[in-house]
Amino acid sequence: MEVDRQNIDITVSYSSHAGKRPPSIVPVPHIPKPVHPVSARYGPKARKPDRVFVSMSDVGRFRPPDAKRLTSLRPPRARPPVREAPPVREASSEQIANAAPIAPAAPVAPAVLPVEPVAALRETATVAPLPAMQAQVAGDPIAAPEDTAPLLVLTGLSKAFGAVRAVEDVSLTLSPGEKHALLGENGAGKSTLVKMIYGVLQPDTGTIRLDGHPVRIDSPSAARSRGIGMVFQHFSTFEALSVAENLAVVLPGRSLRDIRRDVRRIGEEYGLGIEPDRRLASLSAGERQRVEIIRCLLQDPRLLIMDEPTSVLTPQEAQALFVVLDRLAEEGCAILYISHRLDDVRALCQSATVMRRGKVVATCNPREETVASLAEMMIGSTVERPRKQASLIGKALLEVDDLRVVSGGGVSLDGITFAARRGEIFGIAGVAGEGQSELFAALSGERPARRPGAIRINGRAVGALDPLRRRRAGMAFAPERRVGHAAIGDMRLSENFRLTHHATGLRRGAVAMLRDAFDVRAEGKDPFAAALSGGNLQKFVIGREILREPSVLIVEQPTWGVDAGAATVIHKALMELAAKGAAIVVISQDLDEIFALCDRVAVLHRGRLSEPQVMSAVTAEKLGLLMGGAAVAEVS
Amino acid sequence: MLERRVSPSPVLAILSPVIAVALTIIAGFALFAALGKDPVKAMEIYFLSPFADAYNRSELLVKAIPLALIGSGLAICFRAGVFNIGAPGQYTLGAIFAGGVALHAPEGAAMIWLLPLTLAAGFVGGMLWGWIPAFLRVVSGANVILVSLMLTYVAALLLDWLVRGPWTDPQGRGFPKSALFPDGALMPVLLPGTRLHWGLALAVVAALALAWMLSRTRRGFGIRAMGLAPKAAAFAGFSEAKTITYVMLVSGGLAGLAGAVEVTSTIQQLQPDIAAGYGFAAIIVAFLGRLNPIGALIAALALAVTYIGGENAQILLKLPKNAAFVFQGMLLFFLLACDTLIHYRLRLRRVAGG
Repeated sequence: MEVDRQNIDITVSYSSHAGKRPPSIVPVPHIPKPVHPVSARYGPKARKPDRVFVSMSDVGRFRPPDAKRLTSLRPPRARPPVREAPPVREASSEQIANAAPIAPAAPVAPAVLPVEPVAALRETATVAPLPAMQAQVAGDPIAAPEDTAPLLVLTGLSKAFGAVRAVEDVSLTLSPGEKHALLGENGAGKSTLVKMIYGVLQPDTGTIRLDGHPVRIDSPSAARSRGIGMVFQHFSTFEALSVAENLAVVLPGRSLRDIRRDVRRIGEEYGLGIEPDRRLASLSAGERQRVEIIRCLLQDPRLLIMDEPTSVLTPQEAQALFVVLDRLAEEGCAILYISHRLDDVRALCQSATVMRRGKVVATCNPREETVASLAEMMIGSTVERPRKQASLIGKALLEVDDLRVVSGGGVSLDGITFAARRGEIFGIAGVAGEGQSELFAALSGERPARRPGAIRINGRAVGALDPLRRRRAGMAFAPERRVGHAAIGDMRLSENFRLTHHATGLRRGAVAMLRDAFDVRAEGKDPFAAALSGGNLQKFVIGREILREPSVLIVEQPTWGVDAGAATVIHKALMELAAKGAAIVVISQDLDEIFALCDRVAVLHRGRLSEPQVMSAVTAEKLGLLMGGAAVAEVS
Repeated sequence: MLERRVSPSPVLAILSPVIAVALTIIAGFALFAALGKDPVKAMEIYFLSPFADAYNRSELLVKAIPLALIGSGLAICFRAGVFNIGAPGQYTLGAIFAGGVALHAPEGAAMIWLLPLTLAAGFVGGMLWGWIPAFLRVVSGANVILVSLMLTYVAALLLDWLVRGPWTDPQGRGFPKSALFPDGALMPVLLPGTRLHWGLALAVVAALALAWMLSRTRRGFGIRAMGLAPKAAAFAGFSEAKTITYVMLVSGGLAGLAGAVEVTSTIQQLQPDIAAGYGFAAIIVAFLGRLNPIGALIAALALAVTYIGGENAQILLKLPKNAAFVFQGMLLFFLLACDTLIHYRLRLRRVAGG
């Protein structure tokens, strides 16, 4: 039985690519030996989910560089001289002065966070500081030897977008040859952080030091000239051009003939076999990624940033990628590897920085952790949130029965079955891209099901109805994306209100009432939705639906990217609605939110929904394993 | 590169068409000077002569009628984000359907009903030609722009074949023209002594009705929502397929009505050239009128000035007729440029790389 399920899991992971190309992968030449056998990463599924939700507390730490490193095989190359950059602010110049020696500023002993029972931590009322750092497990080099200067040192980096602090006081040290993972959920600030390193964004405060010198990286080209290369999650390439032509576009000053020759040379050297004259359109995602890596290698990187590289790869392609990255690291190139796939990180990286809500919350050696312990460690503590009062749970208001939606581009829903009952908040957890938006569209009627009976409201089959008729049947919906889906930025609040109320009639003064009841702050009597901050617009969107007094409310990511105050208002409103006898479905990637709100939870994984679990009987670890694709029976 | 402005000036956004007209006049000045014509005199002929006397003023309105009818329909179409650029084809089909009814009306039939029937047929013809791209878009995702544009040529060739073949005038000595329409199918003249006809009332009523629909009805709300954010409109329960079909039927029908009005008033028969250029000029009308049906009414007058001014300049200055189209092109160019620069700012930046 167990063996069967493993087979199914692995098949599914292939099948998402099956439509695009044949399952057989072009063999990569010159792989010396399989360093990370596929089975090591994709092996016993029940024990090691390959994708685990990341969530943890908020104490910033960084660790000294790893000492163990192989001598560079690559001859030293001439580097452009590093220009001294003026400190960004007063504070940062102090930091520079304090941190004058190249060695890490504070001799903080890197530590493994002690594993704490999550249930206990959920009880903690306030943000609990991390326990004191403990000495690292023996065998892992702790102290940074004096002879290896760190390549990159980030000190106190912060970046805010309006009121949202995307990155807050992040410090990080990278040595040559180090394979360092940056872990965190979507929106934790990983991408913002690396965009600052790559010169796409400028930090508000803090310093970036390369080889011990503070630098200002104004643009990606400045980053490239300093030896920083980045492989993006989505490649920006010209489909109609050949590999060599695509590279020539981004490497001005090199002849096409040189580029062709270099592509072949690098291809042989690293096992990145790509024929330079092939058209981009004919390449698979993995091959396109190789082109991107070759592009970086042509610019002699000392630091290679990889943004979610395996999300587009098959297991074999990921395997081949790791061989290349190992090889590069052996030659002294530092790798900053962004991922939320813990198995990948454990297979590749010897150090990891964990981020949450813009802050560094932990550093560790992922190889000394199991995936489960990493996941558990990451869910450190929770911010105080209103607790749901136990309400009288009645009969099922929303019944979803074997809901199937075939999706061309996205995730297909495969037999979703659950019921949300009167007075209940039902959580649907899962990491990003497991079918959440497809499920929302199917429940809202934007993508109606073929079978009317697949969705029932109070016994009435609504599966084939459009959003308008489902609203009239007593449903309400709040999608994840605020501007452009839940609301229209170029319309006034009154018109945005009308978007979901025209089905059931408008009441005079309702918008003013809504703004008052949900504390929606904005200037003017009837401002455009685009003028509202994210938190205020989200309060408007959720409040708009709650004012309709629905019997079933479906919300996706109700507090995504909003400030803590707005999140509290929204959570309270949802709990009150449930207490009044509505059934609420919360689709969320935020485990803290699920724990704070829900009575029961099920996990969405590759378009399939697990058995619902009673919240009081479930731990974060167990949810993490379910998110990785394990079945309920294996976990409990 | 272009950078989005945080808060575009609302005053400038309204003034954008005025600025565009002013820039067009300045550029016209330079153009005539370069052609060796007296720019002041040329400008006078272009922009003042259409208002000089009663005849010119009535002709201005005659030209504005089809432009306003098509332009106000296109305004709601573009408002929904559906780019119907096949109005010339819908106009031609309207003319064909209207001609079909007018030419085949039995002798001595109740004359009162003939004109309304003819105009209704024109409306239906335009709707049919607008429905085809909408249907293909809804069923198979075909591009509305391409399909509607290509149907324009189909319509023009259909008309050509009809007036050379089945519907050619037996007394026409082989000229590619149909017989003249019976009197009962002709538009009554509004002002005696001019060509100004009751189509003016139709254009005004159509624009007012569309403006009301767009701002006051649920359907109009759905159209605006879809144009601004298609996903949000679908979420609000407005079916994309229904909205596309609706705006294509309305804008096609109005273009067809314009064709019917034109052949029953100024042309009075079918011929290969029935001034389908109105269909493209109406795109300018729609944008110049800020995609607002009432605005389109005013913009139609502005475009009519370039037509009448162009004809006068052709007679008085021996300028080619195409100069009028140059003016129209410049107007659209400046208008779009103004709109872009009001919402975006130009930022000169070193090209990254190297």
